[in-house]
Amino acid sequence: MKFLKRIKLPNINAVLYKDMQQRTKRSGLMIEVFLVNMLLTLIALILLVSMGASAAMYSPINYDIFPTFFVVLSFLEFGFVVIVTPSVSAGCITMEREKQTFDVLLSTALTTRQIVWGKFWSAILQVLLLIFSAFPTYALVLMYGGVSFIQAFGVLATLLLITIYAAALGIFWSSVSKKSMVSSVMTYVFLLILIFGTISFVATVKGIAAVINEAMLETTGHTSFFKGDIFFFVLYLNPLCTIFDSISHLTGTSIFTSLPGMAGIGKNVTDFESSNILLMLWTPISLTVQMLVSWWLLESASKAIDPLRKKADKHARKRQRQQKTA
Amino acid sequence: MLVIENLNKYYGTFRALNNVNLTIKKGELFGFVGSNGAGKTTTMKICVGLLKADSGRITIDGNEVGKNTKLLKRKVGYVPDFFGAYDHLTSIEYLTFFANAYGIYGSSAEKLCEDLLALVNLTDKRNNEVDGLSRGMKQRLCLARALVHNPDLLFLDEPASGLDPKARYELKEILKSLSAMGKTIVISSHILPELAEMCTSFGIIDRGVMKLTGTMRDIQNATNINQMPIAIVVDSKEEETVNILRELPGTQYVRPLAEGRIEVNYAGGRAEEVELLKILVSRDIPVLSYGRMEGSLENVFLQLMGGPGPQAPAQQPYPAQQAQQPYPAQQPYPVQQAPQPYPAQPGPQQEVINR
Ligand SMILES: Nc1ncnc2c1ncn2[C@@H]1O[C@H](COP(=O)(O)OP(=O)(O)OP(=O)(O)O)[C@@H](O)[C@H]1O
Ligand SMILES: [Mg+2]
Repeated sequence: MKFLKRIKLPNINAVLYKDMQQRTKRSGLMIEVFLVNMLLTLIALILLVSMGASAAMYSPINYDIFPTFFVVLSFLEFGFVVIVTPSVSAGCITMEREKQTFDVLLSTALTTRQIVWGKFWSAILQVLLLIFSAFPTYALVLMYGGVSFIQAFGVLATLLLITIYAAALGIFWSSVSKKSMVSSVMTYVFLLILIFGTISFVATVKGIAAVINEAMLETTGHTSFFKGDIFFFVLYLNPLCTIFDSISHLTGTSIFTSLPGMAGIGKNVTDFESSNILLMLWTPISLTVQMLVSWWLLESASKAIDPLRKKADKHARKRQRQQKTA
Repeated sequence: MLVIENLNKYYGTFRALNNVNLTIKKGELFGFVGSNGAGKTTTMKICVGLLKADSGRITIDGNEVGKNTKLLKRKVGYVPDFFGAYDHLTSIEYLTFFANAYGIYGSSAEKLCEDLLALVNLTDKRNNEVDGLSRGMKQRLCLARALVHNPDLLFLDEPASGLDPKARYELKEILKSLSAMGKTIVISSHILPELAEMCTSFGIIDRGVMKLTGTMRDIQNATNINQMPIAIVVDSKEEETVNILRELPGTQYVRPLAEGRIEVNYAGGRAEEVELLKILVSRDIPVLSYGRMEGSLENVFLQLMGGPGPQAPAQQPYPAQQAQQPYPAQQPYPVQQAPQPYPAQPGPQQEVINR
């Protein structure tokens, strides 16, 4: 792309620049951007028309539909982030392995950290191009009012951070896998675990705690201290909970009542007087946790691709032991 | 420049390198020879920091590999045996990427990459996509790529494999000029003769063991290369020459061939070789060319690899034929390849005139 050439950032990460060159030259990219936006706009229009039509039955103009519309749009975007990001990021490093370009890349002066971060940002930029090119649709919603700029900005920022989270996961699996296929599958599996697995886990723990408590009450007359509440905070890792919370101000419902399978789970937690603040600041806290996890994933990826950090295998350890005894 | 001490590498339980020792001086063009699976790639990868050795020490310019990786990566260039090309990048973009990777940006990177393209004769392919280049062009581009940071030490893993004779010749010329610039070059190959004329020193590795290192003369002395026939080409007086040779006490057998070519197995080393020529000249024989058989390098190699030795008289390649095809197109281990240059059995008896 010509425009990329004109950007003369003195020390732009070489891998990032190269990947962007490759990505922008791929003939499919512009079509993808177009399709994603067409799809979003289409869904938006259908929603607008259908909601507008139903609203029209009750009153001539109902401005309430716009926040709802915004919420639906945000969930759609969340869906896109979760589906698109792994497919873009999980192949980043495995592709280099499969194309036999990775050894050469590793032999250059680039550090493994530079390689990983370059790959990471190139994935993010592509996802942003795909997903956040839906800004016009958002703008449409904002134009009609109902949602403040601050609110919309908050949700978009949350989506961006969730993209980072998912991309870091993809890069991590890409760094430890030999094949893109494996890496993609693992990334999707782990995202599913983060989104649905954590909820199931918390529900299970709470269920078991409830059974124990009932048994304790019957036998000793006291309830157990263990309510399993502490496990509730596993949900900080869950990006769906984050996006849910970030738009809960618009819907007026919180994760604890409206998320499928969540009803009742959070109820006891709110009894935790001291932890209330942990619930009120759900979005910022969970995003912080997720960013820390992302950072850790990228650091691990940098270590995983470093050939000189390879751990000794069992045969090597055996030989070392034999040498020591000899 | 490069010192390898007691290098060991295991893959699982398989010992790929067995106490490899090697010293390469600055400015040398080192030929690293071994058959398939001998451990050439493994050694090189360890040297450039792409593999971790189990034990041993490698120092490059006094810096231990694995310690100051950042500095070493700037000293060393590496062309692997297999490498891919990036999709959607042109040659110049490909090189620019690697220049950037070494922290060279902007106009200096631009100039450098153009120069490198010119060095490897790819200027006309500047805007072609790398993926669409031929094998030989990719090989040259990858060599240019390995030079972007002007390394002192170059590792080239079988750079000539898959190249046609002309491309091999061009590659050799490039390597010679790089060597003349004072770069130390380590180049691996399956075929010793291929490296013979350009390398200044050699190392022969077999199944993870460094069999021999040194100059070509060291290698020849270490083997019974002196049992190789001497090839003589005379302008005329062929019969007379054969008769003279047969009368000499050192002659083991004489083999007259067509067009004034005569092969003789002559006892003794270099001194005797010189003596023989003196005798021929003193007897007024019009000697056009005289020397140990060219193809004998093949034999040194085979002998070291435990293949058939040089006891048998040569049948196939003699100098004139070799000259026509200086860089054989086929790569792999010559023993498995037809035509077999040195059959284990002695050649047809009627052609050999025994004494
Ligand atoms: N990743 C690996 N895992 C297991 N064994 C390996 C691995 N790489 C190499 N080997 C083994 O180590 C030995 C040396 O391999 P290496 O690639 O160094 O040989 P080479 O001299 O480069 O051979 P070639 O001429 O075929 O390129 C071989 O026997 C090979 O089977
Ligand atoms: Mg090899």
